[in-house]
Amino acid sequence: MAAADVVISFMLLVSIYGILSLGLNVKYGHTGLLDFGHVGFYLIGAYTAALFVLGPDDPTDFTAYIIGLGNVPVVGTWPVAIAAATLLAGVIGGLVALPTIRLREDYLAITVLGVSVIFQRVIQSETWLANGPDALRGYSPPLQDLFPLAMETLVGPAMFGLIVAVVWGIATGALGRLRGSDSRLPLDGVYTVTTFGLTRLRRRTDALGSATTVSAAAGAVAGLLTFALLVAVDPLLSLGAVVSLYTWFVALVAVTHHYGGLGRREGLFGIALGTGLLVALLPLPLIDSVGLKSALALALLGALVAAYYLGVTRVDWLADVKLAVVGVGALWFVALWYFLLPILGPLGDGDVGGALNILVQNVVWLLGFGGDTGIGYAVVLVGELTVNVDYARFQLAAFVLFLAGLYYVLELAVRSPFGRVLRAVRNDETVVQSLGKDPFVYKVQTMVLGSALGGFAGALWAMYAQGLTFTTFAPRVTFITLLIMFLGGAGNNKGMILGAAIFWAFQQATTQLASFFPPAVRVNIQAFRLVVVGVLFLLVLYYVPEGLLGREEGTSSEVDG
Amino acid sequence: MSDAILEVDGLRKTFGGIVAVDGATFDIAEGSITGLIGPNGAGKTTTFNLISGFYEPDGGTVRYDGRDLQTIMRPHRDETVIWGGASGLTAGTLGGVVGLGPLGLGAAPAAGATVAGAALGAGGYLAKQRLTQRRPGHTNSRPYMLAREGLVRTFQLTRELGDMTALENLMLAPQGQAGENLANAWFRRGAVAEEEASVRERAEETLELLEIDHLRDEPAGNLSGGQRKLLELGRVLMLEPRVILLDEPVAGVNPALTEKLMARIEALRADGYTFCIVEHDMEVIMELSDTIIVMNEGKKLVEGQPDAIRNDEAVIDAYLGVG
Repeated sequence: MAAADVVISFMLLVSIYGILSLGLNVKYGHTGLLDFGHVGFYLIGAYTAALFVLGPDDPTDFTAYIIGLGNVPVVGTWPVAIAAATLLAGVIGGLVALPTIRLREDYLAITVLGVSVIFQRVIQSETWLANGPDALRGYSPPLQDLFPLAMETLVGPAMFGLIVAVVWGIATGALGRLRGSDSRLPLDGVYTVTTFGLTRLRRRTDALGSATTVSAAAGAVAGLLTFALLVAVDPLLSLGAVVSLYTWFVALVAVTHHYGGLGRREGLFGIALGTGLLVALLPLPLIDSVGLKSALALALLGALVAAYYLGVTRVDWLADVKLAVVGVGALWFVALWYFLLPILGPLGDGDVGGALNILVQNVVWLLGFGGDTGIGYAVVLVGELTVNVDYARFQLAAFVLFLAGLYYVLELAVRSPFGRVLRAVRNDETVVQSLGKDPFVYKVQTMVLGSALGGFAGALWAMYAQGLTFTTFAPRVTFITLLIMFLGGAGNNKGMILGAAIFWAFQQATTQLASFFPPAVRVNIQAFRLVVVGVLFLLVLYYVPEGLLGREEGTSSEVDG
Repeated sequence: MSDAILEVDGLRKTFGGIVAVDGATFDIAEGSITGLIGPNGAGKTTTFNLISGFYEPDGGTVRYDGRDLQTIMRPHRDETVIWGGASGLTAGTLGGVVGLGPLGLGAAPAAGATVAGAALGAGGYLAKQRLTQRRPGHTNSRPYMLAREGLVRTFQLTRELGDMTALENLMLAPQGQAGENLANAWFRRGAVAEEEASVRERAEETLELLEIDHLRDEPAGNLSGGQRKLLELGRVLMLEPRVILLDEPVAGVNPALTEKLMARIEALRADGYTFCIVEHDMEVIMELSDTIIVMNEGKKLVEGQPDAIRNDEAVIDAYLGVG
């Protein structure tokens, strides 16, 4: 599996947990309702969606569930299932809120925790409802049978056009927001090109309202162009390369925008941190003895942490940028892992072509490589490449679109007068009362909105996991979501995405590291990382209680996503 | 001066064994400034909390603009319908699910169970509502209903919204903002933005009026005690009320600003606002008020013009603690 595939499955999880955390952030971050039972709405969303797309149950193979709408036209499709999951989770969130919301903060938290455990128990013990303690499976995600895409028909180009439209639209939207920053890169020129001159049109006619519409329109144009080109000729590899390179460019702009203010020595310290982390982990794949390699890796990691700690406590210029250097180090580490590590093997064997081949596969992340199906290309220097578009890419485009859309919708809500009342409720309900507004109504609305987002995330999880068991929906999930929220910064919607990314990066990294150990040890490592997550939670609450991004609120007349 | 806008009659409130307000009776005339004074523990703030709906009285009535406070605060009919409907919906859904699942009924009986559940749920809620309201001595405490009718208060210990800027504190107050409805915030952004602009303009004017416009974007939590008092007054003014209950408005405000604040209150009274003020600063309250009500041990002791109060034997005794 290429590194790109690892990153794609990672981003699917980030999208799901990002949406789940956005829901919790509406409740706690913006309105101050501490909901320890958020996972309950995730559960309701997941099971509702599954029951909508499952066919009628079949008693002969010991599956039983209350209702399976999969064979009903329209109703049994995924869009309806997701909508139903969102609505039902929202309604149940509101109903749970009615009796509980009058409780004080901590009592509320405990009560709702109880409610979520009740939901889980009901699923577990009521066998007629959703197959009881056994897994509920037997459905498949939408359009999966179209993949890998066949480019000979019209369907393949159309689907790839959709994927490109989403990726292009989101990348353009991001570039549009970064455009104002100082940069040596020709941002305005690139933006004009990638929006196909639509910004000009906007300036002249005012036909396209905001930057959001411009990027959506640019995405649509890019998708249509892709479709037309794929139907007319066969440039799948080049198209994938262009779109992928564009996203890398935007990512580069984002990184330079974010860390451009760092001086040279601060940047170098960050890079040293990242490299040091890589070096500290090197014993794991290279040494055979389990005891020796874990001792060595732990010692090196300890030295690295000690160096960082001494650095930020003793050196003045480091103390001000202690989080930024970690960010630089993490990005540098990821870059090394993504681009450099995969090609070290072939390079060691003197196989430059093979190394380039792998590099191209990772750079052109939008396309899948290898496999039996696909279009073969022979590229100079790089060699044979078999290109296809697999289902994970499609799912990624869909999930990221959902995440971006919900983020935008939520930003609109929290930056409106409605969001101002929510913040007032968080600050002091009595004041809200004295100003003629009923806090109860706003708290119920918050619970409905946050729970509906939890339900939406649950439906996506059902689609992603293709099977549900009650054990997945333990209270643990709520606390992971809380960690994500506090990590990113309660009250900051952007922080939810960052927090989810950090949490899943940790999970995936430890999974990868565990694979260097024999199976008996591997199980222990995977169990132990929950402990590490707990410690991480404590450290976050102790050292960065306001989160990595802090609060970012305030009403504005215009939100542009 | 016109008729009484607030009529307090035999108001009573106890906390455990302590009788905080014990049959207080007085009127506040529309367009007047009424001072409410008395020694510590006389029941002034409790009276305020009762008049503004934050406490439920144990006895007596308060009439605002001729209507009983309890009538104003009673849940509306449509509210009852919404909650009754929600209860019915929940009970009905549960009935249907249980009918289809554990009971294993067919579609028609399950539908019957749904309807029966819905009827039970809605009926139960309405019955409960009836019973609570019929109970003797039942009172409602929903102060936001009073604020909507134009009866607002400030707090003795200021309650600023600390995370929000001074400007946002003010912009929160105006009633009936379209953007406070989530649907409008999403689907009628043009109208909401227009309204926001006018609210913002008014808030900025109010900040200038109170001479705290330099603190516009400062989180209210960073303001000093006196500045918070001003901010609270501004917030109340943004609401465009009829009656303003001020609990110690000049405590902690510097003398120069106190002068301005008093002038401001006078001017607002001329515009038709009614004020009722609890204040310990005797000079301020004597100068400002048309009428002074002196409370002691939960009762009204004396009522009269400031000059008369100043020389009243009973008042002097109450303040000096002579029996």
